[in-house]
Amino acid sequence: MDPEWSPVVWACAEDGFYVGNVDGEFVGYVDTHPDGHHAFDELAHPLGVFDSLAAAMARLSNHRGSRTDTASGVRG
Amino acid sequence: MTAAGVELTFVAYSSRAVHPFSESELEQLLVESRARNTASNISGLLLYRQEKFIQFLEGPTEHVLELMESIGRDDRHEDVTILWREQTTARRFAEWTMGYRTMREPAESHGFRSSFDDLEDPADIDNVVQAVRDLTIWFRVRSDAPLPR
Repeated sequence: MDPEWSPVVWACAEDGFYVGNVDGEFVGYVDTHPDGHHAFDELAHPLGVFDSLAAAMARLSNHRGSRTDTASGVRG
Repeated sequence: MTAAGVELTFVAYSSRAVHPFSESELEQLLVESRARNTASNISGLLLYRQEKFIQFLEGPTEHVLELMESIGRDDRHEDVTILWREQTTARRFAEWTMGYRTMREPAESHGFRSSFDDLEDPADIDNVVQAVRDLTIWFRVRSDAPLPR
C-alpha cells in the first residue's frame, strides 16, 4: 500500500449531507437534492451531479487523487 | 467582532428541552440570545433536533463562562453538558450572533456516522472535535457562507 494513501472518511452531518475528511482535514462534501447527489470539493467548487451517493463520493475521492473506493472510507 | 489574535473561548454543549419547543418559543429564544450575544461579543450556532439542543458559543472567555452559568440556570432546558471546550484566536461563526438550524432527521444512515450523535460521544474526543468541524461546514454551506480555509 502506498504510504501516502489515506481514504476519505465520510460522516453524515444531516440527512443527505455528507462531509469528507482525510486525516481530519476537510476535502469536500456531497449534498443530496431531488435531481441527484451533488459533489463539491473543499472550496465548494462543483464536481458534478450523480445518480448514486457512492458515485458522488467516488468522484470526490478521484478528484483529490485518492486511489480508494468509497466503501473503504466509511466510518463506523 | 474581536480583533485577530485575541484569545477566545469556544464551547460546544448539549441540553434537552424540558418540553418540545414551538416555532414561536424557538424564535423567542433566538431573539433573546442574539441580543445578549451582541452585547457580550459572543457568536455561535444553535441546532435543534428531537427536543435536543446543541449550541456552539465563542467569544471572550469571561463572557462565555458567564453565559454558560446563565444557561445552566435557564429552566427551559436541562441536562446541560459541556461537550468540548478550547481556547482559540479565530471564530468559526463570526457572521452570526446566533446562527440557527432545525436539523432534519436522518432518514437513512447509509452506514455512516452521524455528526450530531458523535458530538455526544464522551469516549472519543476526536469524534467530538470532528463533528464540530463537520457541522460547521454543513451550516456554512446551508447559509451560503464561505467555507473555512
